[in-house]
Amino acid sequence: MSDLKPATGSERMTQLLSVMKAAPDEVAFAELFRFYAPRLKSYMRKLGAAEDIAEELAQEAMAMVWRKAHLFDSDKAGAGTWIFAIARNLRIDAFRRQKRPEVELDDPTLMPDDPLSPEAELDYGQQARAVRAALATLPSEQATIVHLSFFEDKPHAEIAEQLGIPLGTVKSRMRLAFQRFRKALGEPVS
Amino acid sequence: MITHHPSEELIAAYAAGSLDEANALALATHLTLCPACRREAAAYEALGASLIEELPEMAMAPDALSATLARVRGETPAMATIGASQLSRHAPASQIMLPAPLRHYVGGDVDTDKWRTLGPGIQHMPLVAADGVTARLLRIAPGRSVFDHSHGGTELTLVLNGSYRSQGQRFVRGDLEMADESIQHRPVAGTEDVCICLAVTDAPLRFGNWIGRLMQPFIGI
Ligand SMILES: [Zn+2]
Repeated sequence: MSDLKPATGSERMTQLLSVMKAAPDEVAFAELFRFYAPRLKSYMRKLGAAEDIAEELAQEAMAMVWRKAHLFDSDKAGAGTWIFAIARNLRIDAFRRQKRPEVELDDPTLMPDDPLSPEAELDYGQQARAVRAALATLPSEQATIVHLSFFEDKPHAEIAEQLGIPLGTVKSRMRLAFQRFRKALGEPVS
Repeated sequence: MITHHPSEELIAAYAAGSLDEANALALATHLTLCPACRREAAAYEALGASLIEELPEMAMAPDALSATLARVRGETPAMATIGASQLSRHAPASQIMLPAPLRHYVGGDVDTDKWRTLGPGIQHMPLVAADGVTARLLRIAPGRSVFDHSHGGTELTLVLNGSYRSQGQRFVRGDLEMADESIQHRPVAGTEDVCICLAVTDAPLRFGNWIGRLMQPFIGI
């Protein structure tokens, strides 16, 4: 712990998780827990979990962070992204009783990343800052749609009803919002 | 060379976790074969992380940290889940390697006895039915055309072996075609090899020709 460079926010969290990757570390875990657990509880509540279920899922998500820390690879993702994926899969399992099909990085059929692509050099601290900046450029109606797509476990038709707008409008707003987000992130929109 | 990719919204929905299981299976399979879309998905997961980090904190139970530590303390270190590399060692030697997400549903590679005949030269293997959306493998003999059909909803088709032509375009391994109700979809398998693809449908297919109509109630697709 003592050899950590001073860092804040998501970079700090990535350093803490890298400490845990090397060896189980309750001090590093406690700091990760204090930052993420209350936010993961919020995430589960937003998705419709009752208070006690949200508490349980947030604790279980953090327990999985502990159990899987040895698999964390800071070359592939920052801590926030890695923990988000754990919480997301946990809630799919808990709310929908469905499996979550996932890419496996040791799959012999996996097409490897082009090592010469500019993204291969991407620094995940930089990416997190770029994502926040890109999000801030969205007009509020598009930002609302982006939030809903991450925090509502509902079909688009229900989201349309909730917002009082036609389904086609939800779909086109979603398309516009994500295209704009990608553009702001500085990569070509396919 | 993959030239047909899922839309931004579909990749975002996969990353957000809002896709049903059948569509998520198609996305995970495409992402295994397509590094470009994998990077897209990673960007949307980073977006998810940002959104979570900005959420207001919700107080945890006073003993939450110690309760969580008690949960994991003394557990034997997590065994890495059986990954694809271990699985593949036991998998039968097949010419056609399925990406890991699919292999878990098929229970091995494509040379199984789970194929069911749909019509001359066409077989299928249902894999997922959840939230009204179905994923199945289709195996189409070289040069054969799949029944004329249109879609009540949307359909994803992902090629795993061989190729097919549809709407004047060619689809090869890794390509993902998105079709909706406006498209009269009549894929024709390439002549070079048997065409195997994953088909995801969110409404019953409507067949345009008599054999399709005849078979629809019987095969239930
Ligand atoms: Zn792609």
